[in-house]
Amino acid sequence: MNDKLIIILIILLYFSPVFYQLYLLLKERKEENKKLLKRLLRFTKYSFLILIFTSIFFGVLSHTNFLNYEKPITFDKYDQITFKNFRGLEFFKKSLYSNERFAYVVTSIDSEIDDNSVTVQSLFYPSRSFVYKKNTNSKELLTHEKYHIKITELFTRKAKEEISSLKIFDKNKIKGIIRDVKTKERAFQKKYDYNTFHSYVFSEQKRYEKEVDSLLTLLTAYKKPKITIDEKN
Amino acid sequence: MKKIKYFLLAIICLTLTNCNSDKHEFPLDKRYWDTNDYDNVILELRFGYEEDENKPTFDNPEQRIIVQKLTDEQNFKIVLKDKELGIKHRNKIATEFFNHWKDMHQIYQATDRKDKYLYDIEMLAVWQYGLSLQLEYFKLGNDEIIESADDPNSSRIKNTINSNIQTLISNYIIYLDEVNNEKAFSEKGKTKLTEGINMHFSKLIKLYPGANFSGMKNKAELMLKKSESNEVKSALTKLIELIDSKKKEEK
Repeated sequence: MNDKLIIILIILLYFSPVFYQLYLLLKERKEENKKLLKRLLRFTKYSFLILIFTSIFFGVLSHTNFLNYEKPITFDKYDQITFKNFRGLEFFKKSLYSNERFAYVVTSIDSEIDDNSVTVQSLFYPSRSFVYKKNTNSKELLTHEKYHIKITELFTRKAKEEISSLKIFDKNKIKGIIRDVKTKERAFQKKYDYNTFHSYVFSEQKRYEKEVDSLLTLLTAYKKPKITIDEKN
Repeated sequence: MKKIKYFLLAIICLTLTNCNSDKHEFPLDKRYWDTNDYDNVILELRFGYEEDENKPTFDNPEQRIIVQKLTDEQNFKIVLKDKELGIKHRNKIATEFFNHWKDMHQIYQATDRKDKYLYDIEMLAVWQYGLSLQLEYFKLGNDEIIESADDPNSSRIKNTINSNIQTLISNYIIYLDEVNNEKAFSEKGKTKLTEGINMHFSKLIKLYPGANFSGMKNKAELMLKKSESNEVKSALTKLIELIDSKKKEEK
């Protein structure tokens, strides 16, 4: 059945007491109607409030599963990440391109600018990342998702490489570099998913793995999150 | 009160509008269709349409994409040609695609009261998709036989491989049977038919130049006598010439 139709039916069912009251009101046009109308409005108001709170609750839970929370994981713990760390909940998406066996990972580039140092690190968010089944044995799916984390780390290192080449400590420039790298990282992630078609195109998946690994090795010097900039005259 | 009435009316309208979901659904946003997609799509195209309902065709701008996706060779090539994948896995997928293609073949077979194909271009596109698929499928099958054989040069293995190639050639010959139905095709259909002979048959002969094409040559000669279309005749003549030239090269 159409998803929209299901949602409308649920809403209609949910508001059925309101519609019933409405029906009573329309049926009898008496003095008592005013009372009934007030009750109806009150009922509608509370129903809407409950609905809004429930929607917010599920919305927040879908964004971050705070009921099974795990704080963001830094890249140095990359090897320990398994599907058990994918704690996110998904209420709205049932499949990815008609494949019910899907997962997604949420990562970010986190930065903090101090007086003469910058901390840039990639983070993996377990409570926002989702897998259709935690005990799945699909190594290929896990590898594909984990390379998203590696890609974020790669761009984090690229940002640090660019920042460390600055001669003067300029906060605005640093912010600009980070902003630019974040945009490039998003674009790369999208391209990775498109070209590998979420790891379906296996040769492309392997090509990306080799490319990302070699680029990460090239930037090993920027492994540490914190970089200090000594102003050069 | 009026507002409430309008509100109710709006809800009813909204509900009724949403009841009209798309009658036929296809995974068109998906870059490559896998065998599961083919399962659903073939089922929909074969049994989801009413008898008098038009199926997706190349000349229908809105629905062209469906038949284009259906006959897109990239759907199987992206897996079967991927050397990172194991040969057994690829062969398994090739078998699944081949079995699906046999079902696919039934989608556009309908004819009118004058025995003319209703969807000749689409039917031939499906045919040609199958010819291309079989080339990969049989090659993978033979590669797997060679890989798992104790002695790939043994006469038993060679015979099995040759037998598979002959089956492939026989399957290609079935395509030439369509020349028998030449009258069932439109002019565009005849052009499409010859495209298939020109393109796919030459690929087959180039891939297996040493194979026995006498059966194919015999069939082509018979069809050449029967055909009334110059285009088809020309394609068949070229095919016969190509077989002959390969035979001479062999000598």
